[in-house]
Amino acid sequence: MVPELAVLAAISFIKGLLLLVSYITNNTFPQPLSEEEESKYLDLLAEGDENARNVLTERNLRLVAHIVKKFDSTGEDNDDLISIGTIGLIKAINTYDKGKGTRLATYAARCIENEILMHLRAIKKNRVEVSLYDSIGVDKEGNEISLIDVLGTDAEVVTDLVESNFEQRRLIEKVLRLNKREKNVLQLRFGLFNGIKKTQKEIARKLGISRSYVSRIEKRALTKLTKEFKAEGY
Amino acid sequence: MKGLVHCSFCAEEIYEGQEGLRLLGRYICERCEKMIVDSTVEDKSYFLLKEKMKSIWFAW
Repeated sequence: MVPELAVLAAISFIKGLLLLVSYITNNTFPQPLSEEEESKYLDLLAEGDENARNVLTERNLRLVAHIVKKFDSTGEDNDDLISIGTIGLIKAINTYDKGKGTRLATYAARCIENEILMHLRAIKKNRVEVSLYDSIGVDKEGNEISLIDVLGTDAEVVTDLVESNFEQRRLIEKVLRLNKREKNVLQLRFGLFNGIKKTQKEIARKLGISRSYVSRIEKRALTKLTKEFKAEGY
Repeated sequence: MKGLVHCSFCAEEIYEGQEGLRLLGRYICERCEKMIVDSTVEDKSYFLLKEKMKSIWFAW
């Protein structure tokens, strides 16, 4: 994962966790219904009282938070899980059948948990994203090699990214603002000014440094450029 | 319902008698509520539903 993305993910996770803790510790959730109240509102709902449904939903939100807490270890965003749990709760209120003898809270807890589990399964199934910086092994010198170190750059991708001369100029301006070593590595690696691309090994030999050091310089320079382009809304 | 409100999901105006669900002081219209009830995590629109639900929580 790109460093700034990792930081953003961590901030988002902590923010979600704090939000959840604050909901619970500050007792800001509407209080749950007693068995009698629950039964009364279920009867009203059966008679078509729409407000009863609102009450039943809101007064069971605490249940969502408690179930979400169980999934803390999954590392998923707590805000996402609260949203998904709430969707599960709404489904539960709409499909609950009092005649089956189960208490609403029991049924709703199962629906909320199911909804979250389905989401987690779907994420797992669709998680095919691979970072270019993922380690794929080590070289002869024992240095870690990532995908970006061994993948070539597709000319079309570059053309798509740098669509116009204007954008190319902007990129070059930014490269020129990098420090000398970063500038050298990017110029050689991507053939920025003469079109001749070199491997990290070739650059390492030319600059008299190790391949892994070249890799680190390249990564740092690309991160700086990405940050600058993002700041400009690219 | 006091005055005209908008659905927190689709932003459509909700008129008296057309409210679907009130959640944490926000309204979800009947159509969007049905969409929530019928949704599955595999739906393309599920991500949007999840994000809209999050906005209700954040606004609270």
